[in-house]
Amino acid sequence: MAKPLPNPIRILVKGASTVGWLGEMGGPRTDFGFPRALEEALLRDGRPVETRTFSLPSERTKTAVRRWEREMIGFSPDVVVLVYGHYETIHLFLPWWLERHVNSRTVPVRRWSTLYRTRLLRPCWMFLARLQARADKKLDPTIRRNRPALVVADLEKIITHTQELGSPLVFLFELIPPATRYRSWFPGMAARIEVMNDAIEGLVKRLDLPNVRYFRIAELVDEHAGGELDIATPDGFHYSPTLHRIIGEQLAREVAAWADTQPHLQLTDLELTRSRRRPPSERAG
Amino acid sequence: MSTALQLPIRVLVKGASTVVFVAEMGGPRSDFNFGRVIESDILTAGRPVEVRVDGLPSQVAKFSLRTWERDVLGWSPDVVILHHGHYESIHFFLPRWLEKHANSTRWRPGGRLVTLYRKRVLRGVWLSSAKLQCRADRRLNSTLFRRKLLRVAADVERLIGQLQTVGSPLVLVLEIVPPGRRWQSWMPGLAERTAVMNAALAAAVRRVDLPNVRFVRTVDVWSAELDAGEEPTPDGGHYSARAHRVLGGLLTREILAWADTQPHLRVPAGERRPVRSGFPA
Repeated sequence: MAKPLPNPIRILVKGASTVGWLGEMGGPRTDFGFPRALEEALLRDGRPVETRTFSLPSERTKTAVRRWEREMIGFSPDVVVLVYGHYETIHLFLPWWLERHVNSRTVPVRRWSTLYRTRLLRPCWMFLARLQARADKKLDPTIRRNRPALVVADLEKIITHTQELGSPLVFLFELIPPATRYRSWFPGMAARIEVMNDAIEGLVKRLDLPNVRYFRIAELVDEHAGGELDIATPDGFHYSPTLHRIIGEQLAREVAAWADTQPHLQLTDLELTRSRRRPPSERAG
Repeated sequence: MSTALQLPIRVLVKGASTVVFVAEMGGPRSDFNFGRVIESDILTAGRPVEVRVDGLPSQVAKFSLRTWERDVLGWSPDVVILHHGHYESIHFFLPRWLEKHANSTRWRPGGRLVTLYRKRVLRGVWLSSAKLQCRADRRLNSTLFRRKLLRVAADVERLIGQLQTVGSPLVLVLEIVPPGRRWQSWMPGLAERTAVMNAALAAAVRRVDLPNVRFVRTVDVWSAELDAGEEPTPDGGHYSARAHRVLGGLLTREILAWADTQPHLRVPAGERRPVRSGFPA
Protein backbone atom coordinates (compact mmCIF):
# COMPACT_ATOMS: atom_id res chain seq x y z
CA MET A 1 0.00 0.00 0.00
CA ALA A 2 1.29 3.48 -0.86
CA LYS A 3 2.46 5.72 1.97
CA PRO A 4 -0.16 8.32 2.95
CA LEU A 5 0.69 11.85 1.93
CA PRO A 6 0.11 14.86 4.18
CA ASN A 7 -2.23 17.70 3.26
CA PRO A 8 -0.43 20.63 1.70
CA ILE A 9 -0.79 23.97 3.46
CA ARG A 10 -2.81 26.16 1.11
CA ILE A 11 -1.56 29.71 1.04
CA LEU A 12 -3.08 32.64 -0.80
CA VAL A 13 -1.08 35.84 -1.19
CA LYS A 14 -2.76 38.93 -2.61
CA GLY A 15 -1.59 42.44 -3.21
CA ALA A 16 -0.30 45.04 -5.62
CA SER A 17 3.13 45.01 -7.28
CA THR A 18 4.87 44.94 -3.87
CA VAL A 19 4.08 41.22 -3.75
CA GLY A 20 5.51 40.22 -7.12
CA TRP A 21 8.17 42.73 -8.05
CA LEU A 22 11.58 43.16 -6.51
CA GLY A 23 13.47 46.39 -5.94
CA GLU A 24 16.21 45.10 -8.23
CA MET A 25 14.38 43.89 -11.30
CA GLY A 26 15.84 41.43 -13.78
CA GLY A 27 18.07 39.72 -11.23
CA PRO A 28 18.77 35.96 -11.11
CA ARG A 29 16.00 33.39 -10.59
CA THR A 30 17.09 32.93 -6.99
CA ASP A 31 15.82 36.45 -6.28
CA PHE A 32 12.52 35.26 -4.88
CA GLY A 33 9.47 37.30 -4.05
CA PHE A 34 8.37 36.61 -0.49
CA PRO A 35 5.57 34.19 -1.54
CA ARG A 36 8.10 31.86 -3.12
CA ALA A 37 10.58 32.33 -0.27
CA LEU A 38 7.75 31.32 2.07
CA GLU A 39 7.05 28.26 -0.06
CA GLU A 40 10.72 27.30 -0.15
CA ALA A 41 11.12 27.67 3.62
CA LEU A 42 8.08 25.46 4.29
CA LEU A 43 9.25 22.83 1.80
CA ARG A 44 12.69 22.87 3.42
CA ASP A 45 10.87 22.14 6.67
CA GLY A 46 9.35 19.09 5.00
CA ARG A 47 5.88 20.63 4.78
CA PRO A 48 4.02 20.30 1.49
CA VAL A 49 2.53 23.59 0.40
CA GLU A 50 0.37 25.01 -2.37
CA THR A 51 0.81 28.73 -2.86
CA ARG A 52 -1.34 30.90 -5.08
CA THR A 53 -0.23 34.47 -5.56
CA PHE A 54 -2.29 37.22 -7.13
CA SER A 55 -0.30 40.37 -7.69
CA LEU A 56 -1.18 43.16 -10.08
CA PRO A 57 0.48 46.56 -10.35
CA SER A 58 -1.56 49.34 -8.69
CA GLU A 59 -4.18 46.95 -7.34
CA ARG A 60 -6.47 48.57 -4.83
CA THR A 61 -8.26 47.03 -1.89
CA LYS A 62 -11.66 47.53 -3.49
CA THR A 63 -10.59 45.34 -6.44
CA ALA A 64 -9.60 42.64 -3.97
CA VAL A 65 -13.13 42.73 -2.52
CA ARG A 66 -14.52 42.28 -6.01
CA ARG A 67 -12.35 39.22 -6.71
CA TRP A 68 -12.39 37.40 -3.39
CA GLU A 69 -15.12 34.92 -4.34
CA ARG A 70 -13.30 33.64 -7.42
CA GLU A 71 -9.93 33.47 -5.71
CA MET A 72 -10.88 32.13 -2.32
CA ILE A 73 -14.13 30.17 -2.14
CA GLY A 74 -13.07 27.21 -4.29
CA PHE A 75 -9.48 27.13 -3.07
CA SER A 76 -10.35 27.63 0.62
CA PRO A 77 -6.86 28.67 1.75
CA ASP A 78 -5.41 27.79 5.16
CA VAL A 79 -3.43 31.02 5.16
CA VAL A 80 -4.31 34.36 3.56
CA VAL A 81 -1.69 37.11 3.22
CA LEU A 82 -3.08 40.54 2.29
CA VAL A 83 -0.74 43.34 1.25
CA TYR A 84 -3.10 46.22 0.64
CA GLY A 85 -3.38 49.94 1.26
CA HIS A 86 -0.05 50.84 -0.33
CA TYR A 87 -1.37 52.09 -3.65
CA GLU A 88 -4.02 54.19 -1.91
CA THR A 89 -1.29 56.16 -0.13
CA ILE A 90 0.80 57.03 -3.19
CA HIS A 91 -1.08 59.80 -4.98
CA LEU A 92 -2.62 62.84 -3.40
CA PHE A 93 -5.13 63.48 -6.17
CA LEU A 94 -4.03 61.86 -9.44
CA PRO A 95 -6.57 59.20 -10.37
CA TRP A 96 -5.84 55.49 -10.60
CA TRP A 97 -7.08 55.13 -14.20
CA LEU A 98 -4.68 57.80 -15.43
CA GLU A 99 -1.72 56.26 -13.62
CA ARG A 100 -2.54 52.83 -15.09
CA HIS A 101 -2.99 54.29 -18.56
CA VAL A 102 0.35 56.12 -18.46
CA ASN A 103 2.45 53.41 -16.85
CA SER A 104 0.85 50.44 -18.56
CA ARG A 105 3.26 47.61 -19.38
CA THR A 106 0.79 45.74 -21.51
CA VAL A 107 0.56 48.02 -24.54
CA PRO A 108 1.40 46.36 -27.87
CA VAL A 109 4.09 47.92 -30.05
CA ARG A 110 2.33 50.19 -32.57
CA ARG A 111 3.69 53.34 -34.20
CA TRP A 112 0.78 55.67 -33.38
CA SER A 113 0.47 54.38 -29.86
CA THR A 114 4.21 54.90 -29.24
CA LEU A 115 4.02 58.42 -30.66
CA TYR A 116 0.99 59.28 -28.52
CA ARG A 117 2.63 57.89 -25.42
CA THR A 118 6.03 59.52 -25.81
CA ARG A 119 4.98 62.90 -27.24
CA LEU A 120 1.67 63.60 -25.53
CA LEU A 121 0.84 61.32 -22.63
CA ARG A 122 4.24 61.24 -20.93
CA PRO A 123 4.75 65.04 -20.86
CA CYS A 124 1.17 65.56 -19.58
CA TRP A 125 1.71 62.98 -16.87
CA MET A 126 5.01 64.50 -15.77
CA PHE A 127 3.40 67.94 -15.61
CA LEU A 128 0.52 66.67 -13.47
CA ALA A 129 2.90 64.68 -11.24
CA ARG A 130 4.97 67.82 -10.60
CA LEU A 131 1.82 69.76 -9.80
CA GLN A 132 0.77 67.04 -7.39
CA ALA A 133 4.19 67.00 -5.71
CA ARG A 134 3.94 70.76 -5.15
CA ALA A 135 0.42 70.48 -3.73
CA ASP A 136 1.52 67.53 -1.56
CA LYS A 137 4.15 69.76 0.00
CA LYS A 138 1.80 72.70 0.67
CA LEU A 139 -1.44 70.95 1.67
CA ASP A 140 -2.11 68.55 4.51
CA PRO A 141 -1.01 65.21 2.93
CA THR A 142 -3.67 63.32 4.88
CA ILE A 143 -6.43 65.63 3.74
CA ARG A 144 -8.31 62.69 2.16
CA ARG A 145 -8.98 60.91 5.43
CA ASN A 146 -11.74 58.77 4.00
CA ARG A 147 -9.18 56.70 2.07
CA PRO A 148 -7.75 54.76 5.04
CA ALA A 149 -11.30 54.32 6.36
CA LEU A 150 -12.40 52.83 3.03
CA VAL A 151 -9.34 50.56 2.79
CA VAL A 152 -9.99 49.26 6.29
CA ALA A 153 -13.69 48.76 5.56
CA ASP A 154 -12.75 46.75 2.44
CA LEU A 155 -10.17 44.70 4.34
CA GLU A 156 -12.70 44.01 7.09
CA LYS A 157 -15.15 42.77 4.49
CA ILE A 158 -12.56 40.41 2.97
CA ILE A 159 -11.52 39.11 6.38
CA THR A 160 -15.12 38.57 7.49
CA HIS A 161 -15.77 36.54 4.33
CA THR A 162 -12.55 34.54 4.63
CA GLN A 163 -13.43 33.61 8.22
CA GLU A 164 -16.56 31.97 6.85
CA LEU A 165 -14.26 29.64 4.88
CA GLY A 166 -13.07 27.69 7.90
CA SER A 167 -11.25 30.48 9.80
CA PRO A 168 -7.91 30.68 7.98
CA LEU A 169 -4.86 32.41 9.39
CA VAL A 170 -4.83 35.97 7.99
CA PHE A 171 -1.88 38.35 7.83
CA LEU A 172 -2.24 42.06 7.13
CA PHE A 173 1.02 43.73 6.18
CA GLU A 174 2.43 46.88 7.69
CA LEU A 175 3.40 49.31 4.91
CA ILE A 176 6.77 51.01 4.75
CA PRO A 177 7.33 54.60 3.59
CA PRO A 178 8.99 55.37 0.24
CA ALA A 179 12.79 55.52 0.02
CA THR A 180 14.73 58.62 -1.14
CA ARG A 181 13.98 58.07 -4.84
CA TYR A 182 10.27 58.74 -4.48
CA ARG A 183 10.24 61.09 -1.50
CA SER A 184 10.49 64.18 -3.72
CA TRP A 185 7.71 62.93 -6.00
CA PHE A 186 5.41 62.02 -3.11
CA PRO A 187 6.39 64.26 -0.18
CA GLY A 188 3.26 63.43 1.81
CA MET A 189 3.27 59.70 1.27
CA ALA A 190 5.13 58.87 4.50
CA ALA A 191 2.46 60.71 6.50
CA ARG A 192 -0.30 58.95 4.59
CA ILE A 193 1.34 55.57 5.23
CA GLU A 194 1.48 56.28 8.94
CA VAL A 195 -2.26 56.98 9.01
CA MET A 196 -2.93 53.87 6.89
CA ASN A 197 -0.81 51.64 9.15
CA ASP A 198 -2.62 52.93 12.25
CA ALA A 199 -5.94 52.21 10.59
CA ILE A 200 -4.93 48.65 9.56
CA GLU A 201 -3.46 47.86 12.99
CA GLY A 202 -6.61 49.30 14.58
CA LEU A 203 -8.69 46.92 12.47
CA VAL A 204 -6.68 43.90 13.64
CA LYS A 205 -7.08 44.99 17.26
CA ARG A 206 -10.80 45.59 16.81
CA LEU A 207 -11.34 42.17 15.23
CA ASP A 208 -9.45 40.61 18.13
CA LEU A 209 -9.06 37.16 16.61
CA PRO A 210 -5.99 34.99 17.29
CA ASN A 211 -5.82 34.00 13.64
CA VAL A 212 -5.94 37.55 12.23
CA ARG A 213 -2.52 39.17 12.65
CA TYR A 214 -0.71 42.37 11.81
CA PHE A 215 2.62 41.53 10.19
CA ARG A 216 5.29 44.10 11.07
CA ILE A 217 7.74 44.92 8.31
CA ALA A 218 9.46 47.95 9.90
CA GLU A 219 10.95 45.70 12.59
CA LEU A 220 12.48 43.48 9.91
CA VAL A 221 13.85 46.56 8.11
CA ASP A 222 15.39 47.77 11.38
CA GLU A 223 16.84 44.38 12.15
CA HIS A 224 18.23 43.49 8.73
CA ALA A 225 18.82 46.82 6.96
CA GLY A 226 19.59 49.03 9.96
CA GLY A 227 16.34 50.89 9.32
CA GLU A 228 17.68 52.10 5.95
CA LEU A 229 14.78 52.29 3.52
CA ASP A 230 17.15 52.76 0.58
CA ILE A 231 18.59 49.31 1.33
CA ALA A 232 15.23 47.72 2.08
CA THR A 233 13.54 49.15 -1.03
CA PRO A 234 16.29 49.98 -3.57
CA ASP A 235 13.89 51.27 -6.26
CA GLY A 236 11.96 53.34 -3.75
CA PHE A 237 8.86 51.13 -3.42
CA HIS A 238 9.57 47.42 -3.85
CA TYR A 239 11.37 45.21 -1.33
CA SER A 240 14.94 44.15 -2.03
CA PRO A 241 15.50 40.43 -2.75
CA THR A 242 17.00 40.07 0.75
CA LEU A 243 13.99 41.68 2.42
CA HIS A 244 11.62 39.51 0.37
CA ARG A 245 13.49 36.44 1.59
CA ILE A 246 13.50 37.60 5.21
CA ILE A 247 9.77 38.32 5.07
CA GLY A 248 9.13 34.92 3.47
CA GLU A 249 11.12 33.10 6.15
CA GLN A 250 9.50 35.01 8.99
CA LEU A 251 6.06 34.25 7.56
CA ALA A 252 7.06 30.58 7.19
CA ARG A 253 7.94 30.39 10.89
CA GLU A 254 4.58 31.84 11.87
CA VAL A 255 2.67 29.66 9.41
CA ALA A 256 4.50 26.51 10.56
CA ALA A 257 3.80 27.28 14.22
CA TRP A 258 0.12 27.84 13.45
CA ALA A 259 -0.06 24.72 11.23
CA ASP A 260 1.15 22.63 14.17
CA THR A 261 -2.04 23.59 16.00
CA GLN A 262 -4.23 22.47 13.07
CA PRO A 263 -5.10 18.76 13.02
CA HIS A 264 -5.25 18.56 9.22
CA LEU A 265 -1.80 20.11 8.79
CA GLN A 266 0.12 18.40 11.55
CA LEU A 267 3.03 16.42 10.23
CA THR A 268 3.66 14.19 13.18
CA ASP A 269 1.33 11.32 13.99
CA LEU A 270 -0.27 11.40 10.59
CA GLU A 271 -2.30 8.27 11.30
CA LEU A 272 -3.89 9.98 14.29
CA THR A 273 -4.87 12.88 12.06
CA ARG A 274 -6.36 10.46 9.55
CA SER A 275 -8.31 8.63 12.24
CA ARG A 276 -9.69 11.96 13.47
CA ARG A 277 -11.00 12.58 10.00
CA ARG A 278 -12.83 9.25 9.90
CA PRO A 279 -16.56 9.41 10.79
CA PRO A 280 -17.22 8.78 14.53
CA SER A 281 -19.09 5.53 13.81
CA GLU A 282 -16.04 4.10 12.03
CA ARG A 283 -13.73 5.31 14.80
CA ALA A 284 -15.84 3.64 17.46
CA GLY A 285 -15.71 0.37 15.53
CA MET B 1 12.30 16.67 11.58
CA SER B 2 10.65 15.72 8.28
CA THR B 3 12.66 15.30 5.11
CA ALA B 4 13.13 18.54 3.19
CA LEU B 5 11.02 18.78 0.04
CA GLN B 6 12.29 20.20 -3.23
CA LEU B 7 11.04 23.39 -4.80
CA PRO B 8 8.99 22.60 -7.92
CA ILE B 9 10.08 23.96 -11.30
CA ARG B 10 7.37 26.37 -12.45
CA VAL B 11 6.59 26.24 -16.15
CA LEU B 12 4.14 28.51 -17.98
CA VAL B 13 3.06 27.72 -21.54
CA LYS B 14 1.34 30.44 -23.55
CA GLY B 15 -0.06 30.29 -27.05
CA ALA B 16 -3.05 29.60 -29.27
CA SER B 17 -4.85 26.31 -29.91
CA THR B 18 -1.56 24.69 -31.00
CA VAL B 19 -0.46 24.41 -27.37
CA VAL B 20 -3.65 22.76 -26.14
CA PHE B 21 -5.28 20.77 -28.95
CA VAL B 22 -4.11 17.42 -30.22
CA ALA B 23 -4.76 16.82 -33.94
CA GLU B 24 -6.45 13.50 -33.25
CA MET B 25 -9.20 15.01 -31.11
CA GLY B 26 -11.19 12.84 -28.76
CA GLY B 27 -8.36 10.34 -28.24
CA PRO B 28 -7.47 8.58 -24.98
CA ARG B 29 -6.46 10.51 -21.80
CA SER B 30 -2.84 9.59 -22.43
CA ASP B 31 -2.79 11.77 -25.59
CA PHE B 32 -1.03 14.63 -23.84
CA ASN B 33 -0.37 18.07 -25.20
CA PHE B 34 3.27 19.10 -24.88
CA GLY B 35 2.61 21.03 -21.64
CA ARG B 36 1.52 17.85 -19.92
CA VAL B 37 4.31 15.86 -21.59
CA ILE B 38 6.79 18.27 -19.98
CA GLU B 39 5.12 17.75 -16.61
CA SER B 40 5.11 13.98 -17.02
CA ASP B 41 8.75 13.82 -18.20
CA ILE B 42 10.05 16.09 -15.44
CA LEU B 43 8.16 14.06 -12.83
CA THR B 44 9.62 10.89 -14.34
CA ALA B 45 13.06 12.47 -13.87
CA GLY B 46 12.18 12.64 -10.16
CA ARG B 47 11.71 16.40 -9.93
CA PRO B 48 8.66 18.26 -8.72
CA VAL B 49 7.09 20.53 -11.32
CA GLU B 50 4.08 22.79 -11.71
CA VAL B 51 2.96 23.44 -15.28
CA ARG B 52 0.30 25.97 -16.21
CA VAL B 53 -0.92 26.04 -19.78
CA ASP B 54 -2.64 29.20 -20.95
CA GLY B 55 -3.76 28.33 -24.45
CA LEU B 56 -6.89 29.50 -26.20
CA PRO B 57 -8.05 29.03 -29.78
CA SER B 58 -7.02 32.00 -31.95
CA GLN B 59 -5.03 33.60 -29.10
CA VAL B 60 -2.71 36.27 -30.49
CA ALA B 61 0.53 37.67 -29.11
CA LYS B 62 -0.94 41.05 -28.18
CA PHE B 63 -3.43 39.32 -25.85
CA SER B 64 -0.57 37.57 -24.09
CA LEU B 65 1.06 40.95 -23.63
CA ARG B 66 -2.22 42.26 -22.22
CA THR B 67 -2.49 39.49 -19.62
CA TRP B 68 1.16 38.89 -18.70
CA GLU B 69 0.92 40.72 -15.38
CA ARG B 70 -1.86 38.44 -14.15
CA ASP B 71 -0.15 35.29 -15.43
CA VAL B 72 3.41 36.04 -14.38
CA LEU B 73 3.81 38.73 -11.74
CA GLY B 74 2.35 36.82 -8.80
CA TRP B 75 3.31 33.30 -9.75
CA SER B 76 6.79 34.08 -11.12
CA PRO B 77 7.40 31.04 -13.35
CA ASP B 78 10.94 29.69 -13.80
CA VAL B 79 10.28 28.85 -17.43
CA VAL B 80 7.98 30.56 -19.92
CA ILE B 81 7.28 28.86 -23.25
CA LEU B 82 5.86 31.21 -25.88
CA HIS B 83 4.19 29.74 -28.93
CA HIS B 84 2.86 32.80 -30.72
CA GLY B 85 2.75 33.80 -34.36
CA HIS B 86 0.96 30.74 -35.66
CA TYR B 87 -2.56 32.12 -35.67
CA GLU B 88 -1.42 35.50 -36.98
CA SER B 89 0.14 33.91 -40.05
CA ILE B 90 -2.82 31.69 -40.98
CA HIS B 91 -5.14 34.12 -42.73
CA PHE B 92 -4.07 36.26 -45.65
CA PHE B 93 -6.63 38.99 -44.99
CA LEU B 94 -9.65 37.59 -43.17
CA PRO B 95 -10.05 39.30 -39.80
CA ARG B 96 -9.81 37.48 -36.49
CA TRP B 97 -13.25 38.60 -35.30
CA LEU B 98 -14.95 36.99 -38.31
CA GLU B 99 -13.02 33.77 -37.88
CA LYS B 100 -13.87 33.65 -34.16
CA HIS B 101 -17.50 34.46 -34.85
CA ALA B 102 -17.90 31.89 -37.63
CA ASN B 103 -16.05 29.07 -35.85
CA SER B 104 -17.12 29.86 -32.30
CA THR B 105 -17.55 26.85 -30.05
CA ARG B 106 -19.38 28.91 -27.48
CA TRP B 107 -22.64 29.82 -29.19
CA ARG B 108 -25.71 28.42 -27.50
CA PRO B 109 -27.82 26.07 -29.62
CA GLY B 110 -31.57 26.02 -29.26
CA GLY B 111 -32.71 29.31 -30.70
CA ARG B 112 -34.25 28.71 -34.12
CA LEU B 113 -33.17 32.03 -35.53
CA VAL B 114 -29.60 31.68 -34.25
CA THR B 115 -29.27 28.21 -35.76
CA LEU B 116 -30.74 29.43 -39.04
CA TYR B 117 -28.37 32.42 -39.12
CA ARG B 118 -25.33 30.26 -38.39
CA LYS B 119 -26.18 27.50 -40.87
CA ARG B 120 -27.64 29.48 -43.74
CA VAL B 121 -25.95 32.88 -43.54
CA LEU B 122 -22.74 32.80 -41.54
CA ARG B 123 -21.41 29.47 -42.81
CA GLY B 124 -22.04 30.56 -46.39
CA VAL B 125 -20.41 33.94 -45.92
CA TRP B 126 -17.45 32.36 -44.18
CA LEU B 127 -16.86 29.70 -46.84
CA SER B 128 -17.17 32.23 -49.69
CA SER B 129 -14.73 34.57 -47.93
CA ALA B 130 -12.33 31.71 -47.30
CA LYS B 131 -12.47 30.70 -50.98
CA LEU B 132 -11.88 34.30 -52.03
CA GLN B 133 -8.96 34.54 -49.63
CA CYS B 134 -7.53 31.29 -50.98
CA ARG B 135 -7.68 32.62 -54.55
CA ALA B 136 -6.07 35.93 -53.56
CA ASP B 137 -3.41 34.12 -51.55
CA ARG B 138 -2.47 32.12 -54.65
CA ARG B 139 -2.35 35.11 -57.04
CA LEU B 140 -0.92 37.87 -54.88
CA ASN B 141 2.27 38.06 -52.90
CA SER B 142 1.38 35.98 -49.83
CA THR B 143 3.56 38.13 -47.57
CA LEU B 144 1.92 41.36 -48.73
CA PHE B 145 0.81 42.10 -45.16
CA ARG B 146 4.15 41.19 -43.61
CA ARG B 147 3.94 44.21 -41.27
CA LYS B 148 1.29 42.30 -39.34
CA LEU B 149 3.81 39.50 -38.79
CA LEU B 150 6.59 41.89 -37.80
CA ARG B 151 4.23 43.43 -35.23
CA VAL B 152 3.76 40.00 -33.67
CA ALA B 153 7.53 39.65 -33.28
CA ALA B 154 7.67 43.16 -31.76
CA ASP B 155 4.92 42.20 -29.27
CA VAL B 156 6.77 39.00 -28.37
CA GLU B 157 9.97 41.00 -27.89
CA ARG B 158 8.19 43.46 -25.57
CA LEU B 159 6.62 40.56 -23.69
CA ILE B 160 10.05 38.97 -23.20
CA GLY B 161 11.35 42.30 -21.86
CA GLN B 162 8.53 42.44 -19.31
CA LEU B 163 9.01 38.79 -18.31
CA GLN B 164 12.66 39.48 -17.53
CA THR B 165 11.61 41.96 -14.81
CA VAL B 166 10.22 39.04 -12.79
CA GLY B 167 13.43 37.22 -11.88
CA SER B 168 14.85 36.47 -15.36
CA PRO B 169 13.01 33.25 -16.24
CA LEU B 170 14.12 30.92 -19.02
CA VAL B 171 12.07 31.97 -22.06
CA LEU B 172 11.67 29.52 -24.91
CA VAL B 173 10.19 30.92 -28.12
CA LEU B 174 9.02 28.08 -30.34
CA GLU B 175 9.48 27.86 -34.08
CA ILE B 176 6.20 27.77 -36.00
CA VAL B 177 5.66 24.61 -37.97
CA PRO B 178 4.76 24.99 -41.69
CA PRO B 179 1.20 23.88 -42.52
CA GLY B 180 0.35 20.26 -43.10
CA ARG B 181 -1.02 19.06 -46.45
CA ARG B 182 -4.64 19.52 -45.34
CA TRP B 183 -4.27 23.26 -44.78
CA GLN B 184 -2.09 23.96 -47.79
CA SER B 185 -4.98 24.03 -50.27
CA TRP B 186 -6.95 26.49 -48.12
CA MET B 187 -4.00 28.71 -47.24
CA PRO B 188 -1.57 28.42 -50.17
CA GLY B 189 0.68 31.23 -48.89
CA LEU B 190 0.85 30.05 -45.29
CA ALA B 191 4.23 28.34 -45.75
CA GLU B 192 5.81 31.65 -46.89
CA ARG B 193 4.15 33.58 -44.07
CA THR B 194 5.37 30.98 -41.58
CA ALA B 195 8.92 31.42 -42.87
CA VAL B 196 8.68 35.21 -42.45
CA MET B 197 7.19 34.77 -38.97
CA ASN B 198 9.95 32.38 -37.91
CA ALA B 199 12.66 34.71 -39.21
CA ALA B 200 11.09 37.66 -37.34
CA LEU B 201 10.77 35.69 -34.09
CA ALA B 202 14.37 34.43 -34.35
CA ALA B 203 15.54 38.02 -34.99
CA ALA B 204 13.57 39.27 -31.96
CA VAL B 205 15.27 36.66 -29.76
CA ARG B 206 18.67 37.63 -31.20
CA ARG B 207 17.94 41.31 -30.42
CA VAL B 208 17.10 40.47 -26.81
CA ASP B 209 20.48 38.73 -26.67
CA LEU B 210 20.20 36.97 -23.32
CA PRO B 211 21.44 33.45 -22.60
CA ASN B 212 18.12 32.60 -20.92
CA VAL B 213 16.00 33.67 -23.92
CA ARG B 214 16.13 31.08 -26.68
CA PHE B 215 14.55 30.34 -30.03
CA VAL B 216 13.76 26.63 -30.16
CA ARG B 217 13.87 25.04 -33.60
CA THR B 218 11.36 22.23 -33.69
CA VAL B 219 10.95 21.25 -37.34
CA ASP B 220 14.34 19.52 -37.60
CA VAL B 221 13.64 17.54 -34.43
CA TRP B 222 10.36 16.25 -35.82
CA SER B 223 12.00 15.35 -39.10
CA ALA B 224 14.55 13.31 -37.16
CA GLU B 225 12.23 11.69 -34.65
CA LEU B 226 8.98 11.06 -36.52
CA ASP B 227 8.62 8.30 -39.11
CA ALA B 228 9.37 9.07 -42.75
CA GLY B 229 6.32 10.77 -44.28
CA GLU B 230 4.65 11.26 -40.90
CA GLU B 231 3.33 14.78 -40.57
CA PRO B 232 3.68 16.58 -37.21
CA THR B 233 0.34 18.27 -37.96
CA PRO B 234 -1.94 15.67 -39.56
CA ASP B 235 -5.00 17.96 -39.36
CA GLY B 236 -3.05 20.73 -41.04
CA GLY B 237 -2.27 22.95 -38.03
CA HIS B 238 -2.33 21.07 -34.71
CA TYR B 239 0.33 18.69 -33.50
CA SER B 240 -0.34 14.97 -33.39
CA ALA B 241 -0.05 13.20 -30.05
CA ARG B 242 3.35 11.87 -31.15
CA ALA B 243 4.53 15.33 -32.24
CA HIS B 244 3.43 16.73 -28.88
CA ARG B 245 5.43 13.99 -27.17
CA VAL B 246 8.56 14.71 -29.22
CA LEU B 247 8.23 18.45 -28.61
CA GLY B 248 7.60 17.94 -24.87
CA GLY B 249 10.69 15.72 -24.66
CA LEU B 250 12.82 18.31 -26.44
CA LEU B 251 11.62 21.10 -24.12
CA THR B 252 12.08 18.94 -21.02
CA ARG B 253 15.74 18.34 -21.88
CA GLU B 254 16.24 22.08 -22.40
CA ILE B 255 14.48 22.93 -19.11
CA LEU B 256 16.30 20.35 -17.00
CA ALA B 257 19.72 21.33 -18.37
CA TRP B 258 18.93 24.95 -17.44
CA ALA B 259 17.46 23.98 -14.04
CA ASP B 260 20.76 22.29 -13.17
CA THR B 261 22.41 25.71 -13.37
CA GLN B 262 19.89 27.28 -10.95
CA PRO B 263 20.76 26.96 -7.25
CA HIS B 264 17.11 26.82 -6.15
CA LEU B 265 16.22 24.02 -8.59
CA ARG B 266 19.37 21.92 -8.44
CA VAL B 267 19.07 18.29 -7.38
CA PRO B 268 21.94 16.64 -5.49
CA ALA B 269 23.95 14.47 -7.92
CA GLY B 270 23.06 11.23 -6.12
CA GLU B 271 19.33 11.85 -6.44
CA ARG B 272 19.35 12.61 -10.15
CA ARG B 273 17.51 10.32 -12.52
CA PRO B 274 17.98 10.22 -16.30
CA VAL B 275 15.46 12.14 -18.40
CA ARG B 276 13.15 9.58 -19.90
CA SER B 277 9.78 9.87 -21.43
CA GLY B 278 7.03 8.82 -19.06
CA PHE B 279 5.40 6.96 -21.97
CA PRO B 280 6.06 3.45 -23.09
CA ALA B 281 8.01 3.35 -26.36
